[in-house]
Amino acid sequence: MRMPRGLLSALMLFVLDTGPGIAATPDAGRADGTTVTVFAAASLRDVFGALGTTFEREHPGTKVQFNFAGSQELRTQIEHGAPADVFASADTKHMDAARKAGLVDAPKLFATNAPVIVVPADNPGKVGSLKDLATVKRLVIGTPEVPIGTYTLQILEKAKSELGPDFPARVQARVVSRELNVRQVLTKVMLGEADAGIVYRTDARSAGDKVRTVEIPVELNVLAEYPIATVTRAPHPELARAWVALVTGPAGQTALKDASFGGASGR
Amino acid sequence: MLELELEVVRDGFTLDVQLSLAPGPTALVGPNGAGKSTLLRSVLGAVPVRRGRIVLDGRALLDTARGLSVPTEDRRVAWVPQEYALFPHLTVLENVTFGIPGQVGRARAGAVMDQLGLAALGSRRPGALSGGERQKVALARALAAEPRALLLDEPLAALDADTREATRALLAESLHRLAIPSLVVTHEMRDVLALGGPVVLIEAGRIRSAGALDVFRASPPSEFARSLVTRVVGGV
Amino acid sequence: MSGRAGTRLLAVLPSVAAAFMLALLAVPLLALVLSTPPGDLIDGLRHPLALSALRLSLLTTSISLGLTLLLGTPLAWWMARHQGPAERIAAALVQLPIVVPPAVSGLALLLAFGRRGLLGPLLDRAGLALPFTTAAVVLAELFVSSPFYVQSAVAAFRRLDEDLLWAARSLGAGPARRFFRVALPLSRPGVVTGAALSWARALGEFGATLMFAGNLQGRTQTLPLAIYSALETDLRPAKALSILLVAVALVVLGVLGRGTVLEAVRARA
Repeated sequence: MRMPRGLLSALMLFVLDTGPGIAATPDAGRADGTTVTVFAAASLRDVFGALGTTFEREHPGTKVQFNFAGSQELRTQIEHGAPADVFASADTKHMDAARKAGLVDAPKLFATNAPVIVVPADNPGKVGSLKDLATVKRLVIGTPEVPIGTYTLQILEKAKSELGPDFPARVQARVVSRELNVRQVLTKVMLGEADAGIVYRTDARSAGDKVRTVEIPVELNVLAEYPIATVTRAPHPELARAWVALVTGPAGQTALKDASFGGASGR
Repeated sequence: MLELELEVVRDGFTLDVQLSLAPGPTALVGPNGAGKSTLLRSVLGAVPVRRGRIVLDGRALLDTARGLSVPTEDRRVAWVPQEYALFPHLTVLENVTFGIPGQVGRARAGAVMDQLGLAALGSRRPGALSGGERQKVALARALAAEPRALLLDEPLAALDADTREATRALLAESLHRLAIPSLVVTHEMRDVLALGGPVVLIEAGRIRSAGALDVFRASPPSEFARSLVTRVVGGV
Repeated sequence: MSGRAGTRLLAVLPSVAAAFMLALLAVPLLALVLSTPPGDLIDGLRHPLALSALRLSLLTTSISLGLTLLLGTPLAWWMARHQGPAERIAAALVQLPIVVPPAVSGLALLLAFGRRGLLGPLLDRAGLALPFTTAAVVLAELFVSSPFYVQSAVAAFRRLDEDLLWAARSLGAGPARRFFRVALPLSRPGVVTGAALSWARALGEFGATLMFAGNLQGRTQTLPLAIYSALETDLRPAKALSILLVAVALVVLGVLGRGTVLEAVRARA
């Protein structure tokens, strides 16, 4: 079967994105007073990239430099003295740890991301709702060690009340792979290797029409929360605060919403 | 009887020979680069022949006109290259029996090794042998396979002078007893004399003369032949 | 500085460089071992992922090594004995998996053997579905590791003295006897080194396996995948599993290496 070129190049990006430690630590020598350095979770790449252009327009002469990586990796880098001004994490766990160590100022929630079910565009497993996950042939989820895997387990637990106490076990029996990151889950669904997977809504959106999204009922779903904070020893505290203000302000919230993130006000 | 009619073209060099070898040793002499080794290798089947025939005891091994070429392993033509090409990972006995596996092979190898005085060396490896011993092992290996023709490329050249003297007679004697066409490349008139058989002179890829040893000695057919013949008289 | 001192400095420079290189390779591994107390190591080996991952790794790397030898040896022999455009293309193909990032290799395998891949319909008709199976792990390992063997074997075969093979032929030895009795024993060090390298590469295989075979305990979760899974939550079991991986590799490579040394000694005796 032929693969459309667009899908292929999208996949290549995912593939190259999945390796650990690909993102380089920014060059500390270039923090010359006009560059603000933002450490942000990989899922924020598109939105923050666009906001960076806005920021540079609003602060002439200032450059924004990003370091996108997994939240755990970013936290480790900050712990080891990386010259970050801002830390935006994809979960509260790593932010709380950084806060406890006195590495960051008080964090603010600025976005949420909801898990959704994704299926290949032609939906071979005929998945119409959460309960169908117990009958598909090939289900791919995140491994419990990564956040999306944890959320998936929580959702299945919650669903016991409506779909029966054996629902989690029946779904687990359909799992053919527990992927080590959310992009791998998405890739396998995009390629049609899996009949269904659970990813974040923003991932589903980034895949365009290569996948179809099936909603998880709000009362059974869990939300990933994204906190942001200025770094205590930020080289540029003024600019750091300005960046946080942009993200939490109307422009930032609109951009996040356009990328399918949920607003922080919902909580 | 080994009949050759060969045209070989290789890197701009042309070998064009017609030759008939009777049973027993024949000396093949000629200047460096005349095509001696190429001639041996083309009889072996290791060098592609553009045009020609090889007939051994009435059996065609090669006939380009008919598109016939018997694979080397089925030609029953044994070959002893200059450095002997003994298998370094095998013992002397394993080397000698290489062409004749099995019980019968063992017996025949034993006989050949006795003849050449190798009986005590059976379990050694080629790396632990002297030059003369290696030469004998190579000869034993070739003879044990019961070939119908034998090709020896400067069999004594790698030996020191004393060993050479001692081995020369043994080689000549073995080849005479064997009574199969044997082509022996050499640069030494002493070897030619010891072999005692016909002499073939090859120059620039062509046969300059082929005939009895006495005739070759009495009237050397070329400058090279003259210097070859006189060198031994001087006793060098 | 006198010229003599300068000469002396030049003389020790290679030793310094060699020591530096060695330290660079040894220190991280040493740190891994030193930072893991025995208690952690034992806990790590009792980790629920450890045993099944180890078993799966040994099983799949054994099969992929067997296939590598079985299929790679004839290929290497052919590549070593011929010099033409076809061999040059083969040589390039054999280098690609070494250069390409493993995750991309995994994607390429999916695009080739996946359900909707190039050969997907064909495999489907045969009732085969490779992704998410142990067979997919073997295929991924074979893809990324066999080039190491083939390249090493080609180099070893090319070093063979041509005259030995002609001598064998003149003694009536057919292709099989020439290969097994002469060529293979004489190329043994290079062939064994290649096999060991290729096996080690298969043992450490991560990216292509994750992409093509997925990650499921007991079926596709090999040691490297288990290590990476553990790494996401707790460093200690990950370190213990890594030490296990290194230990297994040392044992197997040691056994193979001793075989070669013994052989070399025997050949010289």
